[in-house]
Amino acid sequence: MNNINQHHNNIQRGKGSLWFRLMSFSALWTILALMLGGTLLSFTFRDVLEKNFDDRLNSLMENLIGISTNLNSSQGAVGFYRAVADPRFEQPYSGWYWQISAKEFNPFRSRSLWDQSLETDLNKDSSQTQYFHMTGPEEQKLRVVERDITIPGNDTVFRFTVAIDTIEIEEQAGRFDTILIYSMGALGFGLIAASFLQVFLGLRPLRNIRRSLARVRSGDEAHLPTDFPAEIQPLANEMNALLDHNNEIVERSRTQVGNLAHALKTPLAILLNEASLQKDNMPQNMKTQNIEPQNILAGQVRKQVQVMRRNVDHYLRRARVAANIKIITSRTEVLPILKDISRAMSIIHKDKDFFIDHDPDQSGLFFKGERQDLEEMVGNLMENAAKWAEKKVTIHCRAEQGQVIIEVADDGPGIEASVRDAVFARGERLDEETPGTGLGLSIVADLTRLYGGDIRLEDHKPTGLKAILRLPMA
Amino acid sequence: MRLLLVEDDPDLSRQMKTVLEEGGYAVDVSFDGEDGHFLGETENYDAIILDLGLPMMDGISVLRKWREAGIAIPVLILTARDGWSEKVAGLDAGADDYVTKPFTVEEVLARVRALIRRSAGQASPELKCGPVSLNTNTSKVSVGGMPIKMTAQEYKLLAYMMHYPGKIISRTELTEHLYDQDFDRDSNTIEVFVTRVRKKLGVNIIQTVRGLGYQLVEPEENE
Repeated sequence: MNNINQHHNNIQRGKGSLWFRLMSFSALWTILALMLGGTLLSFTFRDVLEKNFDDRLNSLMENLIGISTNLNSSQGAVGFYRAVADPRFEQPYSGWYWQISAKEFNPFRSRSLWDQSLETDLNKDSSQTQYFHMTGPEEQKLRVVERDITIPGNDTVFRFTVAIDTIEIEEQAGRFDTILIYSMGALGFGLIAASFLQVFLGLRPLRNIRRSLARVRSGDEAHLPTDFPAEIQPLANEMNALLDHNNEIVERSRTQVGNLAHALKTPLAILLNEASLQKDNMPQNMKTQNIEPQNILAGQVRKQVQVMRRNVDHYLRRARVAANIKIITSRTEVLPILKDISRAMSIIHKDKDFFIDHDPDQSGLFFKGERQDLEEMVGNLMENAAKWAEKKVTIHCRAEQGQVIIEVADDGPGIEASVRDAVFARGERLDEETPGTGLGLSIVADLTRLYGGDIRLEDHKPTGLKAILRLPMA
Repeated sequence: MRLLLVEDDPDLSRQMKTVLEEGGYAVDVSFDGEDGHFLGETENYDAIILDLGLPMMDGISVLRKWREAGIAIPVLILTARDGWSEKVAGLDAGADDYVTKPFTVEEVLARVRALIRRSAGQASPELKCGPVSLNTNTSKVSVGGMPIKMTAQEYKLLAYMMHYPGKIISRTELTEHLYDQDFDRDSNTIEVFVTRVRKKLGVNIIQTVRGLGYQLVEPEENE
């Protein structure tokens, strides 16, 4: 069990987590894509805004050029035959400015400029329309358009400059960016939530397969189910094949162990009997004194064969149970076995009564182990109880703290507390009179130990012995 | 008392036959299921020892067939120690007791004695008739506490009769139950044995029922 837990921990520490990998990748990608897209959108929008702004500036300048009259360097003033379209050119520092300048002239300016002028380098050629930024009155960030105009019949080059505060663009772009950030944020959140759900659902079969495997390990199921998604099913199929393979190996080794046991039993029985016959053939006085060499030999053979038999039985049983416990956990219903064996016992012991006592709701009580082993434990206990009982053997089974408890009680003479442990020792017999090999209870003790269970003997009231068997429950 | 032993292992079967014969039984041996089944169905045995793992026909089937044919002879089955399902199946099929392999032949002998006693309705291993007492466990006979020495054949005859007190037993029945199959049966020898047993016991508990056979009676009824 310890090993399994350690193993479990190792898995949990593992190499990171698939969930984390998938989630961090998808979140990172979503955030990056949205940021890039947002930036691109924001720039495009600003670009469009500026283009429109420039078009507006240009048309204002065209308008200014169109309505200008009296462009005469000698008169020092420009006349308009129509008012300039936008009233903001009249409000001081409104951010809307125009200026017409020429060399050796005081520039002619919009009223909004008041006592300021737009700086312009008249030596620079602006015969093509120029757009640029400059800082205007009151630190306004201005977008400026300017073009040089020459009037036919006049050498003077007039430079028309129109400038508008870019705060309008900034405001619109800012508003757009705000909307953009909110919508991109919402989109990002939605996408991450979607990928969370996707990863959660996507990894669910893995959680299911883990749960199924746990059930297989605990012995509730023999195989993994076959309803996994197409990507997981091959894995489940492989695991099932592995489980089958393991079962097959266990089955094969069990068969071999069984064959070996049977192959050894008859020769051992023959040797044992042959030794007994030799001993029986001795004259009575020698039989008791063990004088004759062949009598000693017969006695030795008999003794050693019995030791061999016990050891063979013990190790075969151990091999069989160990193979079962390590690889496959099977389950065996308790009650049918109690019924079968008690029926069998009542056939042999016609003068004794066998009672099975159990809670009605515990008909589905399962022992976590092989049927054959439960039969052997219960069978030996009941055989022993039946041998010693005066009139009645009582069997009781129940579940208690995740364990199967089986009690077999008889109304016979009982065993003294001081020698109770001895009956579980291999080959130990407290009575030499009644027939028996002295193996029964040691087998029970052996098997319970192998299954991690426990066997105890207690006084049975008013008279007799009660054996209490505790075994793992499935 | 005559037994049938159905066991396919020749060594085990030889040993068992030896010990059972020493125990005062006539023993027929069969080595496979079919032959064993035939013998059990046609001959008159007092008990049958049946191994479950047999060639030709398995022990459980043999047993089931006997019981279906109404043969009620007590049967002791020989099973593997860990074969509890086999034991249960055997007992369900009509066996009366089992012995698990590997066993000592003495164990089988003890079980057979108990089986025969039980089927004859005798509870104690000590059979009594007037001053005569016969212990089936030790094969010892005594009259009024004094031990009597008997030959194997004499013991067999007395033991069979002591199992069925009051029952009229024909010479044929006695022959059938005292000798195994291979014995050259001559019912006249029975008369010789009866006479010898009567002489050894000193009390006439074996009464001749003219034209029918013999009957074991209490001495006072005899008077």
